[in-house]
Amino acid sequence: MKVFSRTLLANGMVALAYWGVSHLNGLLFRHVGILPMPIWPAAAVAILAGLKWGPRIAPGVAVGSILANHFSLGASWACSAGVTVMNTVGPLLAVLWVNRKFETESLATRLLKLAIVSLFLAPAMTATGGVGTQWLLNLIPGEMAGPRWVRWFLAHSSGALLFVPPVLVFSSSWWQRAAGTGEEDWLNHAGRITLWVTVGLILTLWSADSLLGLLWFRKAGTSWTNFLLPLHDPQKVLSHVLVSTTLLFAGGVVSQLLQHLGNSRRNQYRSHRALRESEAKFRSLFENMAEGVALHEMVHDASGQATDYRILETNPVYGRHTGIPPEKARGMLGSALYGLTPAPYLEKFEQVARTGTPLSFETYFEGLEKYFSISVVSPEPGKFATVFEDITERKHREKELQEKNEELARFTYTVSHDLKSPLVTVTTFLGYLEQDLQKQDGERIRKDIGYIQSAASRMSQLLEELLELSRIGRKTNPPVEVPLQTVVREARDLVAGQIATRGVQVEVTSEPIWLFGDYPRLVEVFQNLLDNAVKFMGDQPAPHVEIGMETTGDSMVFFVQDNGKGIDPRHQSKLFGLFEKLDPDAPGTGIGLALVRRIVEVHGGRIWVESEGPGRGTTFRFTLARAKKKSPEVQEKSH
Amino acid sequence: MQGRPITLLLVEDDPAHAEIVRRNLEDFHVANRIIHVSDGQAALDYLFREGEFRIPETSPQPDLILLDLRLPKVDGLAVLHRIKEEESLRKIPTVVLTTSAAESDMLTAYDNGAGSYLIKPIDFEKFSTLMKSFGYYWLAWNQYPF
Repeated sequence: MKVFSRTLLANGMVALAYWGVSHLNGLLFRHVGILPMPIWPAAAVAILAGLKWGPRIAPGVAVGSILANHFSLGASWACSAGVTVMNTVGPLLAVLWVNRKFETESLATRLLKLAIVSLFLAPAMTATGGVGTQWLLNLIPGEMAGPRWVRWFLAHSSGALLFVPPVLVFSSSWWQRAAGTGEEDWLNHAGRITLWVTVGLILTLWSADSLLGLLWFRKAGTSWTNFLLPLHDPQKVLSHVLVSTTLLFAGGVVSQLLQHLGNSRRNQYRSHRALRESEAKFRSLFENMAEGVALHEMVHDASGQATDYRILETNPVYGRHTGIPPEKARGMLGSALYGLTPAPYLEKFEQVARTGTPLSFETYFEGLEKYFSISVVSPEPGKFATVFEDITERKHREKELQEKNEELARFTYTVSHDLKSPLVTVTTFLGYLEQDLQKQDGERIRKDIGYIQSAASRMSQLLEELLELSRIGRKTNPPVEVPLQTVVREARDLVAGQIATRGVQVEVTSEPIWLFGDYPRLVEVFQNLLDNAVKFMGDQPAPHVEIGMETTGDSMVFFVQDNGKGIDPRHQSKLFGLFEKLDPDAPGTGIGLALVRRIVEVHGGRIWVESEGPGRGTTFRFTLARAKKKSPEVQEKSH
Repeated sequence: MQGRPITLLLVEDDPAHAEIVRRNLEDFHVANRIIHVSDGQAALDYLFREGEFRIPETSPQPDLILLDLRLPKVDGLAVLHRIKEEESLRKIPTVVLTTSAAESDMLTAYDNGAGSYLIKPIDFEKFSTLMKSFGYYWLAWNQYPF
């Protein structure tokens, strides 16, 4: 409605201005009986209006043209209508042509184009159209059409040239900037109105006596005195001048008002467009950024206490991280969406939404079993946006690294201690040996040498086993898929001697289980566990070891169970430590179980021990990643 | 000088090191009783008179404890902690004798009430001197609460 009334107003103003400037020329027309204006500023009005408001002012131009041609100039209805078509179409086509790139071009280019339009295109069309119409209506004889066309063209182009570029330059933002005034400056507006009025006045007086006019009318074979103002009648001159300038002034005022409105509308449009563009930019950022983003609003109860939050919008990465598609998340309450009451991190989010102070934190989100780094910002009170990144992998790596570091520290500590210990023995007993040799104490000499020898061999054994331990996970054989029974059989063969000596019964499950990994290492696991079981059988009269597998939930848990000495629960934590020996008198350095643990871990599993205490047997349990249970048919296929 | 023989509880898993301690303390006739246990659990059993150490006559409370840190079953620091937790054992001076030069071990030992922290030298002369000094100080001159 608003747009319509404004368009109507613009059209009225254009018609008024068109008629106003034409009227000045009509003044002359009445004296000469033909259309011999030295300039035709009405063409300029049509071009300016078209540049400013576009084709929608066409009716205004048409009305102005009808008013001017028929009422002021006194042309017939038919002639006026014919001329009006071209008067309207000509400038508007020209304007459309310029407008296509009008906004983006430099000032110089714009002016050049305007000059072409003003000088050529629009005048050419109105001139040919106007003359053509008159010719068609037999108002002019055919042979006169040529010179009249030229005259008409020159009148239109000089009118447009006089008006359009200066007005556009003066109203351009460049001029406003140069003058140091803003668009809202009414002095500037008043200045422009004054300019219009002055130009109109000068035009009125000057055109009457114009040299150009003189020349053209001479060419037309008329006396220049014919189109002088009726100077003999000062009252008539005054009335014409007053009517024309009033019309011009009214047009100018209305134009300024419209420009003012137009400016604010244009600004509105520009800011709207800028907003749309920036929204599009942010939308694209939102859609394409690597972090998950969700916008929320706080939900409060009657007392103003924050009780929950609602998800307003989420981006695709949010969906990828959480597994919740944006359309499902939108509009949901945090508590309902994540199935937690209160909604996750409600307190933190509420604080940000209330204070506006951004917050960043890292967290483990149990619902999704993931670690997230979350930044919370509040774009407006009561709302908050979360920008989050899935850092699960990083956290796992950090944890792994920390564990590795701790293991390394433990390892270094153990190694330095355990290697130092025999060294102390060797150096000290060498000292004793020297003394005892002097004293010729045979008994002591033998003892000294014995200590030195056992310390040296222990040291060599430690070093060898350390080397062995360090090879696990570093030097690997290509992984293979192998039945559990094959692995156990080989392990049993390796400790067959001990098993036979102690008379241990070994029972192995016949379930079709397949292990996947480094074959010799897997054998080592069972070999060490079997060896351990046999070694710590105690005085069990019916020694027995069972090797099998139980399914707990999704995972397969292997076990090596014996009915031997058992392990005091108090000491079980030290069991898998490097060079840890629960029984100082037992053979070996205490690396076996450390080795087993390392192999199990390298195979993506974990190992633990269960024993109810001394005399109640021991069960080692462990998992191995990628172990499978297979039916015989599948086994066949895999071969 | 001590007027009575001192009973020393030696907690040491390495038999060679126990032998070194024993040889160095031979000259101190006052130390006529060295009780040697080779793991942390045995040390606790002895001090708390459990299992085979139940009879006070055969397992007398020691005047002084010489404690290694890296021990089977229960490590030295845990043994120390248990001793200092126990009202009846707290006053027994405990000297740590270890190969560990780790600062964390030393600080934890003192935190847990160690009376002294000695590192086993890798040098015959030094080890001998250390043990002799230990003997003079703890076995000849030191005064005991019991």
